Amino acid sequence: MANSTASPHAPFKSVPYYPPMAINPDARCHLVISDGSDLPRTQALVSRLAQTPRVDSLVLGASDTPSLQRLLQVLAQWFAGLHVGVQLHVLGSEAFLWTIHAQATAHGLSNEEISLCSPTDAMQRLVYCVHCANVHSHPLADAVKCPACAVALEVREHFSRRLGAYLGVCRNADAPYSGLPA
Amino acid sequence: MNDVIQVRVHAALNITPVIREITFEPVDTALPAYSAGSHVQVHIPLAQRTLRNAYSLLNAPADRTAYRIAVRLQEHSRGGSRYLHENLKVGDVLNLSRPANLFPIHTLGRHHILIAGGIGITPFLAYSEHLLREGASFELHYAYRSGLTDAYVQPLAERLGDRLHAYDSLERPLNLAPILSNQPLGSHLYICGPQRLLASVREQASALGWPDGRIHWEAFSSAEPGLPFSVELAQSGRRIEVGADQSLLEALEANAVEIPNLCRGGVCGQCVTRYVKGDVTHRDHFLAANERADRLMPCVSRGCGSSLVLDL
Ligand code: FES
Repeated sequence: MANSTASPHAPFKSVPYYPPMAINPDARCHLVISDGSDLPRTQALVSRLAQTPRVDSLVLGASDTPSLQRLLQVLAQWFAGLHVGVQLHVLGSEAFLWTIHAQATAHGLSNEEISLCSPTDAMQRLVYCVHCANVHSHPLADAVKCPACAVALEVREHFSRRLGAYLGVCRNADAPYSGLPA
Repeated sequence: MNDVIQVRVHAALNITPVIREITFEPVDTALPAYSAGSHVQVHIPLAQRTLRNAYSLLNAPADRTAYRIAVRLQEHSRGGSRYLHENLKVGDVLNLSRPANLFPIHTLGRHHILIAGGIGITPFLAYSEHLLREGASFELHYAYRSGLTDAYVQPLAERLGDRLHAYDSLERPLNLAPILSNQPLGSHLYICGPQRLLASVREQASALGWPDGRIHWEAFSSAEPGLPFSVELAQSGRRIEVGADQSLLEALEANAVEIPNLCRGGVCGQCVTRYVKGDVTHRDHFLAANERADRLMPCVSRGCGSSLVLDL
């Protein structure tokens, strides 16, 4: 083995990394999608992009996109009419970033065309419970209790891009329901 | 090396004055499977030495009974294409290296745009068969010189219908902007042909916002002759002479120094070799400027001026 100090879980360790924002100056269309949690940053980005040929933005909670479902619908319509040469910028909670990421890749965008700004909710994260398959938001902690099935979960450093969530597995198989307050 | 496959020339046909199509059949063992975009190195037995040139495989990848290649006669080459045009006969037995693919189809592509210049059509013949079979969405743009490099226009027109866009360079030049401007999200672009075409497509695509990961190309180049030079191997202290129409890689091979290689045209990066001293004419399309200070690609690059010392 090349590195004997590597963690035994190393193959599963896949936490997302959010590189500093890079703007493709040649993109013919920039899309800015925000969940509204950091409007100053969203506005700053939109004005930085003002010189590019075309900028469109969607903010969750605005009158035409009051719900996530509606925002995803509008986004899907945009994608259907767009051509290669697009750059998508997403701002918001980590869960929001990856929900939009999933929708974008489903429409054929690649990671090179999607820029995820560092999440606005650094103290919260989504945990996927492998026992009941539900996803919930939890404060940063190594162990949490699944609100749906009440199993005490250990949060692994394994991130699902599809779900935008970290993997939670039962921390004590002999006493799955004990040890943590709900 | 058992990486070599023995084949017999089953057919050889001049399809234009400069393009000859050659069909190989297996001698005893079956031909290995390959994927669309693969090439083989043909070991060409010239009088003094064996040259190895890379050619794309044309036939449908599902067809394992034969390999087909098309060879463009190169006026300024070192005799490999001339041999295949003028000396090779049906029934001859040759060696090929196993197929390797440096130009695969992107499996996640929603739509595939293929752009070929002249003999650069060859990998796209296999691509077309594969994409048709998969029911994938694609279009092929083929620029050629009528009567010279238009080898496959007619059969492709029949096979592909309006997926084929043909450009006779004298009558209807290839206009890239409309091709690159209106492609659906998730499209991938593939280019094969002369350096000039590659450069202009890549440049225009980037200027229209295409990210690098959507642009794929294969250069058609092989070693070009130069001046003779000599090299020294630092570790063994040996000195090897490289002839004017021999590549450094070939000279090393002739002296039993084996270097991994795939394209033999300065694009794949396989043959990268360190050097410790000397002046080099870099002719590859692989190394970045800063890497050239101590690395070279022996399949195409040559020593010049002060004597070259390789870290071998
Ligand atoms: S063999 Fe491909 S770069 Fe030399």
